Amino acid sequence: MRTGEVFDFSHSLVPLEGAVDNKQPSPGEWAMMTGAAVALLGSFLDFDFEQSAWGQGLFPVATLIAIYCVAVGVVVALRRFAGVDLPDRLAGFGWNQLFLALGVFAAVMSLFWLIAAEEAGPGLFLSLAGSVAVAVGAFLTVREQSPGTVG
Amino acid sequence: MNNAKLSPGNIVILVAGAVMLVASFLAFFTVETIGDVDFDIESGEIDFDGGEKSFSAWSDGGGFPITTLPALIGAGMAAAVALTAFAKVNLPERVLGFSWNQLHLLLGAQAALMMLAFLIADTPDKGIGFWLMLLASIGLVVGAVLREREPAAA
Repeated sequence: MRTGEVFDFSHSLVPLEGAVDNKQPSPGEWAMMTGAAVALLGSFLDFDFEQSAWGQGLFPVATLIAIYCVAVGVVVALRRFAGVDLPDRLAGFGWNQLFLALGVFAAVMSLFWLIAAEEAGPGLFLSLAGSVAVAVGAFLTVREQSPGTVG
Repeated sequence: MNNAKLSPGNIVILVAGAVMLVASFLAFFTVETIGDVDFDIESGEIDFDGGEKSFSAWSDGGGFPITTLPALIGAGMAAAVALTAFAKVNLPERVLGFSWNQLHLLLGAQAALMMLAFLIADTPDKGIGFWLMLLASIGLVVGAVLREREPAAA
């Protein structure tokens, strides 16, 4: 990416020409799906105060991280593997925009939890890693599918 | 001051963002404490003067900075509106491909979702700051929706 280049994230997951029948997930999509799985796993492990993200006092604030990541991972998997025909846009947002927003929000929440936590457990670190992977995957997907698009 | 840019949606965001920020310094959680302990040697009686301790969204024991995040989001949204309307700052039309209307909608929804999550969470008693932040977060979403519906909103 050149300095100052702007990508248009508003485009939905429209495959590039010549890649219409390609069922193989792109690196960005792999990152999002893997990140979602990692964040989901992390939500069941020790998050803070020896409680999981589903535990008393943490649910559903800490659980939002896993929910966001899993939502992204499930939609990507449905579109890529199950061939589910979802609408191009949702509430005025392209899918890439939603993936990016959810990934970034999840990563920011994980980071803030890491600062807030008094006894951060492996679940929190996995949630952070997973949500960052989802956010990075969303960026990569945009770069793969809308290269050099000016917003 | 550019009054043309202060649409109803922008006003709602400005007010809600300001309320959000102010409320974040008020009591987010309140917990009962033992308070002062009076021990009468002659009678052997112990008297607990029960008290209440409150934590703002910025307090160390109040979940800072996760409780502060909605307030930061609200303040950021209000700041963006204020910069455009009052300081005549020309912000880029899109940020990472998102229009400002979309950003306001996403950020407002995120703040409201987090506050709703705190509402559901099994936490200590909620304080006045929490309730004001919850209302303000809903205001942020309302403001963002109004902006979206306004013709050629800034």
